[in-house]
Amino acid sequence: MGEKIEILLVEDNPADVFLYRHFFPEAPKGYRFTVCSDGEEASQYIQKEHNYRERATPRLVILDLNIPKKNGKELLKEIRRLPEFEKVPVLMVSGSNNPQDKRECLEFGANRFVMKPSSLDGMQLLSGIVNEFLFQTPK
Amino acid sequence: MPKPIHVRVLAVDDHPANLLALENVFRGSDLEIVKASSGSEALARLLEMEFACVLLDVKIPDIDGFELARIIRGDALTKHLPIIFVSGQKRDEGDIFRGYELGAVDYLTKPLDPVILRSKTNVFADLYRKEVARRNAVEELSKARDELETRVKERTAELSAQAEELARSNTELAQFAFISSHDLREPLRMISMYVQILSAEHANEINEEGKKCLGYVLEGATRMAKLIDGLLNYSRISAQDETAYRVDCNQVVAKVIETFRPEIEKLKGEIVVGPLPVAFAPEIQLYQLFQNLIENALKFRGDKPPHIEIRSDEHDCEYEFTVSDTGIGINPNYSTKIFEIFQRLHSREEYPGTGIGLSVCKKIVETNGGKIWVVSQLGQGATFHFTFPKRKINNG
Repeated sequence: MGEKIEILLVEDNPADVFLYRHFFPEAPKGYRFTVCSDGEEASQYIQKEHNYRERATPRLVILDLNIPKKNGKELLKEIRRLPEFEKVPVLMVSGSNNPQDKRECLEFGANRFVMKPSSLDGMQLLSGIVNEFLFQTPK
Repeated sequence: MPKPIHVRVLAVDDHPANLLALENVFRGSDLEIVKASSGSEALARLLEMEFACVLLDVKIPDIDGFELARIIRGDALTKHLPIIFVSGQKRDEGDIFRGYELGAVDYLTKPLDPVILRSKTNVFADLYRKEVARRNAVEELSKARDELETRVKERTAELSAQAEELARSNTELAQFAFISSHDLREPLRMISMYVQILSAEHANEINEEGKKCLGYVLEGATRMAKLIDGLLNYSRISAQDETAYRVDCNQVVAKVIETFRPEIEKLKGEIVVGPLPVAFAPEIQLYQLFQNLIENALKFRGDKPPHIEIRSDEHDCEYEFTVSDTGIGINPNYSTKIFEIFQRLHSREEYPGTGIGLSVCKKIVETNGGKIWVVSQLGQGATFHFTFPKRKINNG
């Protein structure tokens, strides 16, 4: 153990960021979030530009569908064009359950599309999904 | 009032005295005698105006009377013009026959009897008046028909513009409802999440009254989430983006009942389903419709175990469905009101709900070309009726 689990979180709502940090604490499992609050910053992150030249490859990307400057779908396509991210799972989250959004995101290479939870039970489910991506041995 | 028809008679004679005499015969009548002293002058007048008949002297200079008759008969404009030959000569059988052969309607010889001439001419004047009146009537009629056609076209264009406008504003409204409910959901989610975190993780720091307050916050947020979901659902029902399929209602109802099975068993209730037809409507909408009606029947069951019957009846162009229960019933005064959105008849403590369910039913039924109504008395159960056309309605 001891190694940090790097997660890229693309989310502009501080209250949501707080929730992730709250339910995925550093101890004991070692989750470490890098938060990008808009599409351009996230783009710099995945392209290793500016502040992100030294970053390591994340273990998971949690990507909000509605973010400023560049939307989640565009960013998703950008991620899937990079060989570095070939094996990195992308979890798309959205405030609404629009079937068209879901279909498109899965088509563009997201591994999962979920609605943002609005209850503690929902948060439990999301934790389960995140941990499944992080700790399941690849088949 | 139709205006009087002016009647002209063409008199052709090379002797001015004869023409004058003719004119005198018709003095005082409403006929206008137009005089011509030669064949060519007569032809010129014929081109200029229309006549009821021609009084034609057989012997005129330039063109002979018979020749002129032939010309008149040969022209499309004048071929039906009645010709009365007037001859100064002694009756000559040959000339008379020749005249009739050329289409003369009569052959008079001088001296002319004014009474006979007047009455013969008047016959043609009357015919002419009738013909002109008929022509005018036909013209009027065709004008009226054209006008009507134009007005129908204008009105149709107006109506279709209105329908287009209505469809556009409906779409806009649905979009507005969708977007606003979507955006309303976000802050609500935050409220719910953080109240739950506060209650779960900071319980020690909050006193009893504080916990009660948090409970109300959560209750309000949960209720609002339901309202938003209901609104979103309501705004999504539309005819345009759903394709109507042939759906076996027996299967749909069986699926819905399956989801209520635990509740029905708990309440020791029963649902009887008669044979149902295949309907033309999107399956998801039919499912929602039966789901809402069955849910209502269970909710408003009263003290007895619920007994629900779902049946159908076939009419000429539509199927009529009924969902009856033995519950608390509805005051008939409210039988149309209950289909309005957000309309509730009971307090939330008695019967929780959003007041959207039946408005969704109404929208689904009407979107698919049917009608929905309820027959009920307070305390005597309720029967919801709705219809679906046998064929898919054409939405253009």
